[in-house]
This record gives sequence, structure tokens and C-alpha cells, in this order.
Amino acid sequence: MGKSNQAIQTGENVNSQIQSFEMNVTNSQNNSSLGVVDSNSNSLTISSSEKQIYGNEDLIHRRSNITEIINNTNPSTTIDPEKAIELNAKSIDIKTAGVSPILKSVDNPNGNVDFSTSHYSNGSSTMENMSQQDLVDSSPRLFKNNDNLFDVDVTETDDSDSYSDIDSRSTWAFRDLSDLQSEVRRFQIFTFMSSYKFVLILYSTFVIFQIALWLILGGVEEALFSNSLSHTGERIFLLEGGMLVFDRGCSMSTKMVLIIAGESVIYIIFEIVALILCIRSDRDTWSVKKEAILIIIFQVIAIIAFVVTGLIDEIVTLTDYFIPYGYSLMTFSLVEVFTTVLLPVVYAIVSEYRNLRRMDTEFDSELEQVLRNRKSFNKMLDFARRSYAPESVLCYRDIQRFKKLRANNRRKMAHHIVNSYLTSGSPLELNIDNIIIRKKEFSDRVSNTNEKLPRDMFNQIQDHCLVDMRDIFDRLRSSDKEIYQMIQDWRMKQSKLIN
Amino acid sequence: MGNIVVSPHDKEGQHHMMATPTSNNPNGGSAATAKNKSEITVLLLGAGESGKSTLFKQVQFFHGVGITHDQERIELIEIVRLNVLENAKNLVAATQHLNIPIEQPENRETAKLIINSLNTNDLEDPSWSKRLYSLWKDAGIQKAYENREKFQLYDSTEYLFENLDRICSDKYVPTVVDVIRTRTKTIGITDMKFDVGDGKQLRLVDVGGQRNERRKWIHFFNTVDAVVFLTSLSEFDLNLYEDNGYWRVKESLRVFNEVVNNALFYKVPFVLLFNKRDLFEKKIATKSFSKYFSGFNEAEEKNPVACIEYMTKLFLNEITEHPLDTVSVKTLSAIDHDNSKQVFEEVKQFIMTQQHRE
Repeated sequence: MGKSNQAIQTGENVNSQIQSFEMNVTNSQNNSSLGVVDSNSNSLTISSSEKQIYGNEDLIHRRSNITEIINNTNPSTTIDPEKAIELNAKSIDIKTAGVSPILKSVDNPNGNVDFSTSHYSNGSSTMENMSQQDLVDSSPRLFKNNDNLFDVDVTETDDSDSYSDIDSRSTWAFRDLSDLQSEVRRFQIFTFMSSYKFVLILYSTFVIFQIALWLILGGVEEALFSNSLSHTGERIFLLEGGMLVFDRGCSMSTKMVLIIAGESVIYIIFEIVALILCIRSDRDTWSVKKEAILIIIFQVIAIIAFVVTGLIDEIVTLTDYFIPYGYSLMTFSLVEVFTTVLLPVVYAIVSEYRNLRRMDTEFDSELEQVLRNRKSFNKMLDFARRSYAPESVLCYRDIQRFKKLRANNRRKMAHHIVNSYLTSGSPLELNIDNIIIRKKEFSDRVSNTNEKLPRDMFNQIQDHCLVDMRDIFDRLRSSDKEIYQMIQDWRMKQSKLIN
Repeated sequence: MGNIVVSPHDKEGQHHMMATPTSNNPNGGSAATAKNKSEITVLLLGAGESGKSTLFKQVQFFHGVGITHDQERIELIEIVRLNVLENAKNLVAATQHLNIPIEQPENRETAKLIINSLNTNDLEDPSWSKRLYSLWKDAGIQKAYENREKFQLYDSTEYLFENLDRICSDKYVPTVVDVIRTRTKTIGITDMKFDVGDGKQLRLVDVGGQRNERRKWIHFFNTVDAVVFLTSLSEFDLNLYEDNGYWRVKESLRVFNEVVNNALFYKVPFVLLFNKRDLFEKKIATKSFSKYFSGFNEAEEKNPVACIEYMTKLFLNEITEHPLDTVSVKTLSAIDHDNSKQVFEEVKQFIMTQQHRE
């Protein structure tokens, strides 16, 4: 039961990856289908450092000479000021004819904008001055960006001829679609295997198999026994009784013992395989591993007890009348049910109670409470996705997962967080200030394998995500009755706690 | 910010207002609507903090949705208080960053609490009103505030601190002005619809303005009937939130260029709104405008009309593709309710007449 949850989580993880992957795909489709928009949309998204690399191509799309200068802040190319002025003058000449209509349409509510075409001549020189000033301002930063770009995205910088690479750069390791599809299929299988459906099918198959076995063997024996002419009273599997005898017990012949032993061996082989798989799994989130080992120990003890007591005549003949030694196996069954069914329920109740206590004492914000509950989290994520803003919700979730991991497993998750949410140009880039500098800081820490990654490493990012979700959260709260009710209930609970 | 506040109980809205995510597949569904023009989609575009959401909230307000009701503004208490805290935090952080010490010891104590532990629930206690106000009036904080172009600070800082006695009270209900003036960075895209007569509906789409948000705009580009581009007049001394080394005006010009010259918008009426006129006029009284635009005549720099005229030229110079007779330029002060209403009416008229001509 616990294990299934774990697997479901991984499955979900992949789902979200697929969704973002789809986002990439649609992004690039958009770009290619919209023609001219292509250049615009891309230059909207790429950072200034990338612009340098794609600068030449960018320029082709820009007919405005003024912007050409503004964009051309690349320190390596020098701007000929005279040429710039000349170009500007040209563009303004072309425009002055067209501008006069606007002058009429400029209807200012305060009636203040009033200018003549003569101003255009000094317009060009300002542009030039402005761009030079900017050139000085931004050059050190551009260099810095460059360093960063190269040490992180070496692969992307090579194919400078395709814009879509910037948008569709996947933050995950999937190289192409077929890779992804096989991955998806694998996880679909895993998800199915950990579902209740699968468990039910498995159990009922075994039950049916056992009943069939009983029916067939019992039927054969009964048929042979009643048809035997000699009526010697000899049965094949049982010493006396039969499948239709209900008024007393029966005792087995050696043949029956052999059949049961054979069956047990098959089941034990299954058990050993499952045990190996269980021990080899990376994590023990739901303490399935511990439970399995505990049960195996009990099982071995129970079997030994059964065999040993079965060999001692005194017990078989004397005490068995009061306490049957077969109870040792029954005891094992009880222990198994206790550890695998009852204990997990107790764990769940305890942890829920603890969460409740913590929630009450820490006074988490309503938003955090909504995010903690699985159902309302999914609503929030869905709403955010439809508002084109899933990144902060997903990032928050991944940071929570990061915090739950053990120290030695955190690095991979940290990588994922940095690459998906803190990379300029990635499809799930966060709306955060100075992302390039931030990414550098984090990726330095993550790639430095000597440093242990502390649990609170991303706390600042997490708080940022919470602030960014505010807007979406308010909209969700006012449009979704269930969430609204949930928050009202929490408020009630809290106010009760205070008083 | 676009807090759409259509309460779950509120069924009797006069206008049909939709304030849900813009979900319903902008590419598929609207192809048909674009043809028959019963729905006019207007995009509010612009770089970060240009006032798109403020205008959006104003439009909501004068169409009688959401924030007109006390009940719905109560839900926004936390946002207003969060704004106060963020402003305070930013100011305190700036004093450290700029090496300006906070002068009074008790204010230093307050500053420590703000950075470490204060949360929005604490602001229910009226004693915080005094403490925060005293911090705000501290010479060190004031000096940092004067140098606010050197760090990121909301425009509403002064307003919020001057209204602390209302905000820090357990009976506080945000006023409409409070809601309009609070800043929440818009993430993603939201929209609202309202009737404009003739059986037509206007769908106003509000978007986030920072660099990573802009790539989401494209989802709406092919369904657009009009674009309203906002830019802040008062950003001439500021750098970007996304990238502290990049001048905001340069970014605005770049974004404007990319949007206005986009082939999808050739036939679309285009409105350029110079927002934050109020702040701008205050700012040029104390700051040099010509310092940032060396081609500008220094003698004229205290004259807002000349400055705005100059800015207008800068932006119109970017237009290389768009037919200029479908471009309109206006100034706006989005926090001013009457001004917003008037300007938005004019924008609506402009768009409708352009629609008719087609």
C-alpha cells in the first residue's frame, strides 16, 4: 500500500515533465508557424547575452536603424557614430511623411503633447548618444553573461542557426520524442503495477487458482474414490475424508504434503524475487523495506518453530491437543497483517496529526495550506497552468520534495530545480530578479561535489514562489467555491484555536 | 495585478464578467470570434511595472466588479499588508546595501524584526503602526528613499506608510484606492469581458511584463483586435527588476519596437499610453531628466510637456512597420480613477472607430 504511493509520485513527476515537454513542443510550433512572429517572439525571450550570439540574424529582422544601434551593445563591434547618424537620418526622413497623421490623432486628455516635425532632427543625435551611454553601462555585464552562458549551455550555443533551440531546450535528459515515449510507457506500466486495480487482479487470480486447484484435485480424487470398484477406502491425497466431507477434519497423505511443499517453493521464489527488488530500491519513503525485512524474520522463525515442533513427538502427540503447533504459522499471518496493514494506518494517522499540530502552531499562510493538501494543490496547479503561470507552483513543489530528500540524494533534484526554474530562457523560468546571477550562484554550489547541500538551500526561492503565487491564488480563491470553502474552514479552525 | 474578485457567491453581476484563467484555448475558440467581431480582444502590453494591471483593476472597478464590494476587499487585506512588509524590507535592505545607517536605536530594533520575523498577522496590532511609521520617518530610511532609483522599490511606498494607522488595525478594510495602489506582480495572463453595446463584448487581457512573462504573450497574438501598450514615464532613472544592470527605458523601447512592428499587428489599432504622469511630474521637479537623455535640451527639463513630447518621439521613432494612422498616443495616470476612466473611454472609442472603418 505504501509502496504504491511512492510509485504514484514518481509517475506524477514524469507526467509533469511530459507536460512541460509538450509546452516546449507547442512553443516551437508556434514559432515556426507564425513566420515573422518567430523573430519577434524569440527576441522577446532570449536574454541579452544570447542576443549577442544570434545578433547577426536578429539584425536582419530589424529594419529600424535606431534599434540596430541600441541592440548592438556588443562591446566587440565598434559603432561608427557618423554612420549611425546617417542611418538615423534616413529612417527619419522616411518617417516624417508618415508622422503627421499621428500628430492629429494624438489626442491627449491633458492636451499637452504638441510637437513639430523639426524636433526629429535632434531625435537622431539623442538616440546615438543614448546608445553610447548604454554601451558603457552594459558592457561589463555582458561579459559576465557570456561566461555564464558558456559554462552552462555549451551544447546550445553550437547550433546558432535555429532559434527554436532556445525555447525548446529541454531541461531533462530526453534527447528525442521516442525516448520520451518509451519512458512514458515504462512509467505507465509502473503506475499500473502500483495501482489498486493491479493488486486486486493479482489477488483474485491467486484465489481463483487455489480454488481451481482444490476443485480439480478434490474432484479427481472424489471421482476415483467413488468409482473404484474395490472400495478399499484408499484415497490419493487424503488419508480419510474428502472434499465433500464437512462433519469432521481430515488428514493429509504424503502426496498432498508434497503438493503443498511444491506450491510453497514457488511462492517462496516469488517472495525472494520481490524481496531482492525491495532491498535494491533507492528509497524507503513509506518504510516498506523495513516492514518486509521484519516480516521475513518472523516468517523464518515461524517456519523453524513449525518444523521443529513437528519433529518433537511429545508436542505432536501431547500438547497439540491443547495448543496445536500449527498455530506458529497462524501467528506469523497475524504478525504480517499487523505490520503491513495496521501499522501503516497508524503511521498515517500519526503524521496527519503531527501536520495538523504543526499547521496550528506555525500559522502557515492560507496559500501554504492550500499547497500542502494534495487535492487543492492539484487545483492550484491546474488553475495556474490555465493562467499560463505554472512555474512558481511547480517550483514550490519541487523545492518541497528537495527538502524531504536525504542529503546524498539532493544533488540531482537541485540540478533539476536550477535547470528548470532558474535558467534564463527555459520554459519554466521563474519571474525573479537577476536570474543569471542567481543561477550562477546556485549551479556553482550544486556542481561543487564537496559541499553538502543543506535542506534550506532553496528557501529564498521558495518564498519567492509563494509571493509570486499570491496573485493566482487570489484569483483561484474567488473563482473556485471548494477552495473558498476550504479556506473559510481553516479560518474557523484557527480562530477556535486562538480563543 | 488583476485580482479578480468575482466572489463565488456573487451571481447577480450586471455585466457578464469573466475573471477566470484565460484557459479556454485562445488559439482554437477565438478564430471564429475574430471573424464575426462580436468579441473585441484588447491586449494590455508593456514592460514590467508599467501599470497594466493597475489600469486593469481600474477598468474592473468602474464596471462594478470585484473590488467595489467591501466583502471582496477584505480578502485583500493580506496583500496590502504584504506590500507594507515588502516595502519596509526593501528599504531596510537598501540602507544596508547603500551603507546608510538607520539612526534611531529603536528603529534599528524594528528593522531587525521586520527582516527576521514579522508577518502580516502581526500588523493587526496597532502598535506596529507607530513603530513602522517611526522607522519610515527615520533619517536613514528617508535618505535611502531619496536614493530609491538605486534599488527596487514599489511606487506605492509613500502612500502605504502614510496610511499605516488604518492598515495596522484589526478593523481594517482596504479602500478601493488601497487596492488600486498595492502592487502585485502579475504572473501569467488574465482577462475579463464586458459589454460595450451593439451586442459586442470587449475582452481585456492583462499580462505579466517581465522578460520571462513576455514569451507567454504569443498565446494571444493571433487573436488580437487592438493593442494597448503601456510604458512608465517615471522609469527614466530606474533599472530593470529582472536585470539590475539594464535601463528600463531601453527595455521599454525594445519591447515596444518588437510589439508595434510585429506583422500580426499591422492591421490592428495600436494605443501607446504613457503612464505614471503624476509620478513623473513629481520626479522631474527634483531629478534631472536631461541627465538620462543627453540629446534633450537641458533648459526644458523641468517642463513636463517638453519631456513627454520628447519621450513620445523616442517611441514613435521605433515604429517602422505599423501604419501610423492607426496609432494613438495618450498620457495616463492609472492610479487616478477619473483620469483612467476618461483615458480608457477614449481608448475604447478609438478602437471601436478603427474597427468600424475596417
